[in-house]
Amino acid sequence: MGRDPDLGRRDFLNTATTLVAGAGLAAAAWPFISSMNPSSNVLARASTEVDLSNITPAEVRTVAWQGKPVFVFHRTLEQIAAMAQSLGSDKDPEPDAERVQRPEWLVVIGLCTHLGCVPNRKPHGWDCPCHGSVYDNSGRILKGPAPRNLDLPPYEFLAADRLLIKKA
Amino acid sequence: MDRRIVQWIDRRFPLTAFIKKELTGYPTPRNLTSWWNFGFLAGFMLVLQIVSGIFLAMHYKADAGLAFDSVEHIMREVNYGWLIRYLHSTGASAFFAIVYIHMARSLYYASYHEPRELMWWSGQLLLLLLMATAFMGYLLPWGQMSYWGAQVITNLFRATPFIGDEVVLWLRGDFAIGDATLTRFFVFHFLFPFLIFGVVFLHLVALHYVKSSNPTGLELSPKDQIPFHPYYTIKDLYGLGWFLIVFCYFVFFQPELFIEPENNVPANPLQTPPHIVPEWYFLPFTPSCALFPTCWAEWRP
Repeated sequence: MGRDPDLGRRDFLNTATTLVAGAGLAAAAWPFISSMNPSSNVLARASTEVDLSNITPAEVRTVAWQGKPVFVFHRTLEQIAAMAQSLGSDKDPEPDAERVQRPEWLVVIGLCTHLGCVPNRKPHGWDCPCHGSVYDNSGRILKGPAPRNLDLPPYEFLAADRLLIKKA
Repeated sequence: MDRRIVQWIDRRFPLTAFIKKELTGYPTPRNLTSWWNFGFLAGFMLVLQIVSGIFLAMHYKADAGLAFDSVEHIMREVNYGWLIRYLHSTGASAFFAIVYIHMARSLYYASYHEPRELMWWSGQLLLLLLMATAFMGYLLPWGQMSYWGAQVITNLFRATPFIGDEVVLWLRGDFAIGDATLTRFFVFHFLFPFLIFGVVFLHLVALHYVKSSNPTGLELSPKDQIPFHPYYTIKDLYGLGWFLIVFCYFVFFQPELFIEPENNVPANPLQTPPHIVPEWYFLPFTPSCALFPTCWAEWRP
């Protein structure tokens, strides 16, 4: 029995129909998938403005940014000088100058880079209560299980005493 | 799929046999017209309503203080929330339109005749469940029409002999339609579609036992039967294409046609809107509301 001359045409129509239907199904699925992403009112809360004028030297103010704690640390000259002399630990060495825009203001995300607990303030920096990670006054990891220094949020100074922690 | 995987499954679960019996080999009258499309379309609408409803439920708040605003939140702030809500609200109308056409076909072509009586009766049960689901869903936006529609319909139960007042109080869980009513309606509105799904399964078990009716009203001989797949899968999908064109016209261009303007006013228990109208799909039953309480009035002690 010879090959049906219509067969190639049928295969083409079958494939084309399936492809168009598949594309339509994918397009129809998109609004449903997208609806689970943050809605516009959530996105509108994605940046936080901080008034720095009432944060005294050596004080750490914890502010909420995108639902996460951010430490805004008004460092003293001694603290700045101490931090400038080290690179933290061998685990994630980083000069202090690269972690701040203005040396007197350290702005770091207050979540331990190990498993996301909020470290507690100590004179030497921060200690994580969950698994004992220790951070210095530049938010750099000194010891413990955390793999890297405290993360930096995207931010800019709008004025001398106004800080904007922005969308990434 | 790899033949060995299929064989492995077939030794443990009748996969190939099931597909052959119910789909590729399922005998279907060769003379079915497009009127026989509507059962499939009703099944499609059930799935669409369940899917869109689940995604709406991710953003909706079943609380008298939050419900109205959460619907506005869906409309304005949730990505494509307007689309999902309009699919759901327009979908309710489309579902009823399809079910009514499906029933009209059954009546016109006497599809309910022996041996298909249980197709009709399970269908009647499905219609009742659908009406209950639609009615309870209509309360959820917590607008004026939602509120007063629920007020009127729950009041019908006052006609229950002897214990009417107690039944109404029990249904509402409050002295008037209130937060308790809203929350339970939300729970039932979520639950009932899955009951419908179960009854649809029974409806289909019965169908595949007695097989489809056909426009002649006669039982066809085997040579007049063709396999469901590919002939009726493609015919059903073709009909779905036409249906979606009409449906999408309403979803994208006339979505407010099925939403009473008054329902964009938050529910107010102290003020009934000047004109209370039910959804179009309940219009055939509306006159009976005027009769109902009086028929039973004499039963009250």
